[in-house]
Amino acid sequence: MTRHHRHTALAVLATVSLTTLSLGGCAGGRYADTPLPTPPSSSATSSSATPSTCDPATATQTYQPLTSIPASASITDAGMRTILDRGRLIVGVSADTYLLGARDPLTNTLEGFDIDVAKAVAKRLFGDDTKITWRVISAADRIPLLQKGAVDLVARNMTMTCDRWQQIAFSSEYYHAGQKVLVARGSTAKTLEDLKGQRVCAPTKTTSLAKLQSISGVTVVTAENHTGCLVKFQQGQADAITGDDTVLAGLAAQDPYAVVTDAPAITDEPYGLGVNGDNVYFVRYVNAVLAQVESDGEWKQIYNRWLAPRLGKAPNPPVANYGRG
Amino acid sequence: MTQIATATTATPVPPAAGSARATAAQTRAAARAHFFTGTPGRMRINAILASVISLAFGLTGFFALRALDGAVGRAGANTKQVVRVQQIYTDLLRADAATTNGFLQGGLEPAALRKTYDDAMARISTNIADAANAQPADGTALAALNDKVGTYATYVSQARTYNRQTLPVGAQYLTLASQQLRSDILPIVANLATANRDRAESELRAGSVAIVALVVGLLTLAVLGYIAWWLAHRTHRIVNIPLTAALVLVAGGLALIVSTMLTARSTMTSVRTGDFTSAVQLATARGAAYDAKANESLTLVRRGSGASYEEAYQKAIGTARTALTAARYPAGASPDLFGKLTAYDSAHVAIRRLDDAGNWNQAVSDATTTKDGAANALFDAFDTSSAGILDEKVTSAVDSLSRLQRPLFPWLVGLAGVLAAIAASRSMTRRIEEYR
Repeated sequence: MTRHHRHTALAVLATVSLTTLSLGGCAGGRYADTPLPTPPSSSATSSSATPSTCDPATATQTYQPLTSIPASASITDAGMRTILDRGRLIVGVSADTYLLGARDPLTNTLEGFDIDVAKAVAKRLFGDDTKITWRVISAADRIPLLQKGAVDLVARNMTMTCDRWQQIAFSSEYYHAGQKVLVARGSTAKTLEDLKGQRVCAPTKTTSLAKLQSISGVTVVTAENHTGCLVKFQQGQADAITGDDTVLAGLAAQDPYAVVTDAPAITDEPYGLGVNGDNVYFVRYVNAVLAQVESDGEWKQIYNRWLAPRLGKAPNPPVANYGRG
Repeated sequence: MTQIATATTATPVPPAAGSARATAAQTRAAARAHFFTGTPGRMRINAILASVISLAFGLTGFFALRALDGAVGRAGANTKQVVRVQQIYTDLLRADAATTNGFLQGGLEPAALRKTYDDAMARISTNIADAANAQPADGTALAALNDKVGTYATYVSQARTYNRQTLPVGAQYLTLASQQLRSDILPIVANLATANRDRAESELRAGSVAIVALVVGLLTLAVLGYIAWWLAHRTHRIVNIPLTAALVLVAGGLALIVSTMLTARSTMTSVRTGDFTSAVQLATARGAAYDAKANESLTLVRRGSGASYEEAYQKAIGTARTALTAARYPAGASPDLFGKLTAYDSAHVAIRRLDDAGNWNQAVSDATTTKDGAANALFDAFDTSSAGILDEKVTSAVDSLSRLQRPLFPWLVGLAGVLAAIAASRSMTRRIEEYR
């Protein structure tokens, strides 16, 4: 009996102390730290430079222009009728490529070399260069939107290549650009080779990026567009930017600490207006418009308005190559 | 026991002078050995047992009620923290929507939108500081948030500076700011909201912490009752006053515990499933609505290529509707938050139709005007009324919880246990004396 009771007393004491301890322990309200989100794994830029199987010499070859620009009412081609009946030309452009296609924050309108070229086409189609529905697109959007027929025309510093010819059609070359390098003022680098070990930015899905990826020893940084590269450059995330001389001129115009090196262009970048590959008649029509714009001095006016202050005196317009028949 | 001890030592053996001390020690030892034997021994044991278990009850009750009180307090604090964090979430999107909308208009940002942005950013700073004070476990996440919000604000002011110089890189800074907000900042705030909601909910479920005290209390009553029964049986006295007093004290303490527990449980459950849920869901709806609003501006900034932003808009407006329903404000409820959101959504549909048809200028004009009946005004109507109801829900939840706090009750139960222990320890003194 005695022993039994003594055990009971001990057990009660033990219970009391344990309960007290456990209650004291959980009463603190101490929580596990709020977790931080795990940063998404940085997608490595895979080298998408698949060797091209086509003949680069055919890149600037386009279709013969119409002999004269026909009156819109007389056009019967189904592809063009869609545009004419709609009463508006849908053009894919850039809104952030200063001097070529950019939104003026003050007036909220799009302006630049590419914009004026597209307006020249609309003016012939409708007699009014405001009959355009602008679609602001990224470089990567250009081909898919043309293939889907979501835009009639792409006027967005688009380089004509034989690879792209397999997916879409181009007008005749309306501007001849070349790839150059933009560096910080004071940098000794002139070419991409000089930038080994440094970070160079180019936008995704551009010919500039393909060229950049072929240079070994350079750290490739990508952005959504060239202005995105300028932001990275200004934020210290890129040491240099590569792209077409026209585009780089627009970037340098926005940042006095950025300069385009005077090394000669490393590539040829013939710009063409992109058109759906099935819309050959429309390509011929646009080619006729471009031929007129180049011959009557309008091309030079547009050049002088946008590019002359940055790139110097207007060259002669590129010579059209109508080798595609 | 003393009697027995005396009887043993009373053997007429003359003690040897040398062993006299040894015998005295033996006597004490024997007395100790017999202290717990026989009926007086059992009485002593029972008195100690009754006293210890009463004390145990007092201690358990004290700590259990303190724990309950603590849980109630923390539930209230966590609720406030959830709301604070969700306010940060909403304000971030409000700031983003205001800047994007202002940018969309072209020219200088309208003063009203600039003020909306500035006010939202100021509230964010205050709320981050308050949240860091309120919950140490959020410290790391809030520090990271503070850092990223600083970067966001820097990008926005860069965008403004370049915009003033009419340079397109300004637009890029704004895009970057919006992207960074969604990829880096909002996920941190979402983590904070989830963590604090979980904390609040687990505290609101902590009503059962006092169950230990309930068990110990019932055990105490049983033990005291058994001892009382045993004593009555042994001494033929029906009522032992000290033991009865102990029983009454323990029963009183137990009643206090049970009533506190039941009130706490029912209030906490009703807060958890009622005002708390409504507040969390309303805050979610508001955050999602602002997300939709910001995405509407982004669709127009992208001028005809805003399909991905329109998808984000649809997703956000869907989230807002689900959350409103979960907050018990489905379509047709009063006040009709759901209807107000739908009115704004209709204006959005009209804006999209204009943009999709190529009439971008009109779409922008409709999306940025502050005229009555326009998208901005309809959105403001939803914003104002949902903010008012959210505030009511939060105040109601926090008030119900703070009314539950009874800082005196643990001490009362503890005191009852101690007094019961003292009474129990004295319960046998008289009876044992009768055995001398």
